[in-house]
Amino acid sequence: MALVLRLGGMAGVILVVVGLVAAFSQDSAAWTDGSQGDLLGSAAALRLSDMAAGLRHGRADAVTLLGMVVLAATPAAGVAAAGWCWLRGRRPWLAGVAALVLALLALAGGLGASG
Amino acid sequence: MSPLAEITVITAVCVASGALGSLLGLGGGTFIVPILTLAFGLDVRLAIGASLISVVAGSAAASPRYLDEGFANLRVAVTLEVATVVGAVAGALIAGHLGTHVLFTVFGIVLAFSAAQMLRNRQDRSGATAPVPGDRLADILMLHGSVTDGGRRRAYQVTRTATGLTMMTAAGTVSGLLGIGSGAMKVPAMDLAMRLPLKVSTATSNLMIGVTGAASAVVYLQRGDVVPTLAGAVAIGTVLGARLGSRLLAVVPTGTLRAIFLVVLLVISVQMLLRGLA
Repeated sequence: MALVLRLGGMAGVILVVVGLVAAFSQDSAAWTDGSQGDLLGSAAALRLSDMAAGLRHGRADAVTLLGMVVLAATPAAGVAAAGWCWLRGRRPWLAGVAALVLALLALAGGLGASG
Repeated sequence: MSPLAEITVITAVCVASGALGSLLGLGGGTFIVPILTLAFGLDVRLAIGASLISVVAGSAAASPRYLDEGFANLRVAVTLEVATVVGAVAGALIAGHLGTHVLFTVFGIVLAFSAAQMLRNRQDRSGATAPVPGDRLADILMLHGSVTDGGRRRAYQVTRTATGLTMMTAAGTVSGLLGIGSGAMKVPAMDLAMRLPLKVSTATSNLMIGVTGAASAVVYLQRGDVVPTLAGAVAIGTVLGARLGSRLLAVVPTGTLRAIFLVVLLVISVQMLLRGLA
């Protein structure tokens, strides 16, 4: 699990950094003089459903958001890795608990999308 | 202040917040939401969204080290995550329907309650070595473990798993509602109710915070309550801080850890209550 957390965390952070650097370099004047309004307010928020279109158009904030999606998926990948190890180690109860956690996380995604 | 200067200061503050959060098993979110709202005047929902991302990132940064060193109990973490994830999703959905002042007030009350409970139980347990009652669920799931403390390997027994699960549901709800890792509730639940050693509780809490935060973060991401640049800067600062904090855990004495924990909780709770009741 530690390896999965390291790799996922690193990939997510790299994407976030790339997105931030791209955001600053794409419109550096807006960041230094504040001419584009509130860049940290609700107008700058981005929905998950807008991410794919943002990536297609090369939007820097969509890359940052992708990094966050990777970060959010990393703990789930860690639980999956732990569950797999327990299953191979013939610890069915623990593997079952890990599967239940993953099912609940999938449900969270579904509820978030519908709510 | 220009947006660039503002984001730079926010990142620097999050480094300190992340280190303290990792050290105390709280997750940086406990400090990030008050900082972003009270000091920078940002919208509380956006602060919560950014905080949740940083909570997940901070956990992913600190937890591998805790797992390698044997501080974090993975079996306990995954078992209790069943409860925290259920609570986190419920909390995130409820937060979308609550007013700002209500969120501030709940934040303050939760932290004050955690501090008071920690202080009371700290007095109760000082010098006491009460026997750990047996727990069938902990036996079935093989939750017991051992930890190296002060150069010696020490076995510990886990108890009251059902109580821990109940407390973790509440912790998860608070996490989703307020965008914090709710380590302030998780650590006492494991330390005091389930009788895990404090360092194991702290490290296991750090590991769990990532999963709990991810469950809530998904809801916030899909609702559009995340500003990528803000959340990204907060996450980077928290990750750097969390790495620093995880290196300090092995050398910081438990008593000092508890004292810092209490003072920080009390200060933040007063700040948030003042804002909520204003």
